[in-house]
Amino acid sequence: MLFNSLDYLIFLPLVVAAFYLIPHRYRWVLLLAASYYFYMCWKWQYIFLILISTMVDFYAGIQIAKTPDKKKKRWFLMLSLCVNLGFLFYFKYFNFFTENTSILLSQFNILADFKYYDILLPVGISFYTFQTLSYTIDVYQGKSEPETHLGYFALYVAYFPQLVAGPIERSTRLIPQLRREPKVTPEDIRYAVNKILLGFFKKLVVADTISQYVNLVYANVDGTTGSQLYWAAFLFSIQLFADFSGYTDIAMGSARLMGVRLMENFKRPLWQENHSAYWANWHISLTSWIRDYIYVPLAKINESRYALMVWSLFILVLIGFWHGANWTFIIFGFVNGIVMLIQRSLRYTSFAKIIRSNPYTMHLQKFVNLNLLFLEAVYFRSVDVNMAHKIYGKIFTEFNLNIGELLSLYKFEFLMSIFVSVLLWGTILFNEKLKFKYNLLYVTGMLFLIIFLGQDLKNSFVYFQF
Amino acid sequence: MIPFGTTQGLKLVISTLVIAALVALGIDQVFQHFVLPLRTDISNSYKIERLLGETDPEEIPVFGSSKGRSSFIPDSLGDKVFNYSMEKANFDVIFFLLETELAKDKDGPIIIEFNTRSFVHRPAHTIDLSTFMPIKDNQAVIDYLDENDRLDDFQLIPGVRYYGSYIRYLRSLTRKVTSEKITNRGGIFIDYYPGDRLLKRFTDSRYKMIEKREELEDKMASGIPLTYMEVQVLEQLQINSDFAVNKERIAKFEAMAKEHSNRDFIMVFTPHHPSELAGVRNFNKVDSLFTQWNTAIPNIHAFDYSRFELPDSCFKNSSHINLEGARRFCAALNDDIEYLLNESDSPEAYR
Repeated sequence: MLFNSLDYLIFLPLVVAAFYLIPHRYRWVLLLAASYYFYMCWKWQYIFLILISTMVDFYAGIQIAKTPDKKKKRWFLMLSLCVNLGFLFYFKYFNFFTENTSILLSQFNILADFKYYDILLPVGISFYTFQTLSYTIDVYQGKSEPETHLGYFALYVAYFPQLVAGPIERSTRLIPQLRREPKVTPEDIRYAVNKILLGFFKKLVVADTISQYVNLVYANVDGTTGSQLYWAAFLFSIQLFADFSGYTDIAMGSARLMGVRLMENFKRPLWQENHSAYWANWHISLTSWIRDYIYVPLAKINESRYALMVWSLFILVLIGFWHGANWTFIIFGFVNGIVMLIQRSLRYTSFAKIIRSNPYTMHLQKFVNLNLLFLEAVYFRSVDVNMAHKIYGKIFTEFNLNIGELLSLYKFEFLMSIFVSVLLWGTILFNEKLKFKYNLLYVTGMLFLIIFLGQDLKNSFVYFQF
Repeated sequence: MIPFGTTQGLKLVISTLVIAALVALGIDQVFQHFVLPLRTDISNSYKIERLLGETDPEEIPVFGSSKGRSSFIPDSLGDKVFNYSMEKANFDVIFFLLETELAKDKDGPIIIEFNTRSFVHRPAHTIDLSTFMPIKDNQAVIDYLDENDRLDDFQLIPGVRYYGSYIRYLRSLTRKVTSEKITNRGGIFIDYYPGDRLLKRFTDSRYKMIEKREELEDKMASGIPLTYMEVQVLEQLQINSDFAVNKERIAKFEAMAKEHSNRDFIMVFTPHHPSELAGVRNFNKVDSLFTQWNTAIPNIHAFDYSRFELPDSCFKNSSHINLEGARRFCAALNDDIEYLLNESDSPEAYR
């Protein structure tokens, strides 16, 4: 079920109404049933993957805590890792590995024609896999107690607002909130309503409008100019932000209606001075997960300056690969990592100090960083590496400021994309400074924009494919 | 427990829902009563409404896609010609238009624009809901949308029926007053040549597409496995370049024509830039289909103007001609149609 569907607009109020009508001790049953139904609307068979992950991690968590034997603890941890990462590998990366192995072998004249499995990627598998893994690892490391109530644990794995595209919550944060009877204040409801509206605005108005221009340009790379490709790269980054943060906003708002506070996933990520700051504020639940469970353990192995640089690069490549089984994502992560390392190495130079001392030059630095992010996103959006390189070739050789040439193709779609981008910027600023007395005005304005400018494309969220 | 925690919380949610309903109904009513009446004859929904209500027995309709819209100048073809072509419309839409037209007590000809994708069946792509929503009170329209799985439940709810289409309506309203577009009874003609450089870009893009297709096909033929992405790209390139032969839909059209033997169906492959046709490897199938129509079905007359000689300055891009191109094409077509209708036993009239 998509958030941006009529089904969800009926589903959410029904679930919330039922949530408040039944005693707290039965609410987990309602929410679990609703969450499974929510997931099964997409492809019911894949609920079994969630059920298996839930059972394995529930069992592993209890056994890890119960057994004093370190070796046994490690075995149960391995069981959880193998099952969860095994599913992830099979559904997401198997074809990529067989394809590349076969291409590699063909270089040595060895024909290895692996069968291509036309597997539909289970929506949200990367998200709930990481969520359940964090639980088992936390229990193994003694950072949290195992959950003894199967119902609440299952709900933690499948909680519908954040099941398919995060935020990737930690058990120590989410399970206590699910267990506790919520004390919902009017401020919570105001927050929830505003967040849901902001999310719909970002998705239906901004992301879906921009996607039309970006899709047209990327479908016609040969026929478009360097300037058009540059602007498509710029707009794609805005689209991606609006799409993903829009999803998170709806998730946070939906959860808050029932008294659950999900973690913030975005804090103005695009307007940052460097890539480190960008990654610290973009998809925070994933980057913090990778920091806590991969980077920190690696840094403990070797924390020399050069080792940390290698770990950082590795982490960025891993984040890229997390997004999808394609070389474009791997290179996207790698290029991000390289730029980040260069920026870090320049951070303490006298030139960097001069830039930081002046607010105008700081804005200039943010602008440069923003452009680098847009350009890197070409890898993210391209179908394959060749396409990305073709786009770079055109951007770097043909870019000019000729407005007539820019508007020679897809003029309406381009102008609408710029318009909604400005609208997004204004809305975010207004939202941050919103006073309670103007809330009704805000709600009315958002509803007007969503109804009047919203697109009925039935596009799923970009991050659903990850 | 009070839903949403407190009475104030409940009030907030209810007031939001009430505002949402009021805003939706307000926009809907403004559109229904003030904006939609401003539509002109180039608006797609106006065209559908017109076709449903038009009773002039002498009107000659032109059905087709944006290629048809920018190629057939009604004034050049006759006083009673109206161009009902609309972007993306192929036989997914033309079948509906034909059924509507053929239900009328008429015996005049029908002109249909033909291209290599005319018979591709992709209703989600070809049937634009915003074209049909203002006429959703018409049962035939509802049935048609339903048959093609294009009707959502929410579109029957007052207040949200036009959701997702407002900007498109405004766009069609402003279309007439902007730029160098000239309109004529449903047709839109662009008095503009993009320049050699830009046109070359369009044509190069087409040639590169063909190159890419051949490169992938060669790779596959030599036994090198294609990646999943490459397979997807190749499939798309093949769909976009070759003539899509859909026997079932062709048979449906032929049956329609045979059933209405009193009407002449004039199928016209409009002029294309050579680059656009370069990659169509199965063009012989277009030729044989046209020959079959011209020889076996007396009231289907197929004209192939795809290679009609036009200089580059007559093109808007590689697949659409501009006003000058349309003028030259219509002059030639007019002669052929006149010849055909007056001396229908002359096979020379067919190209």
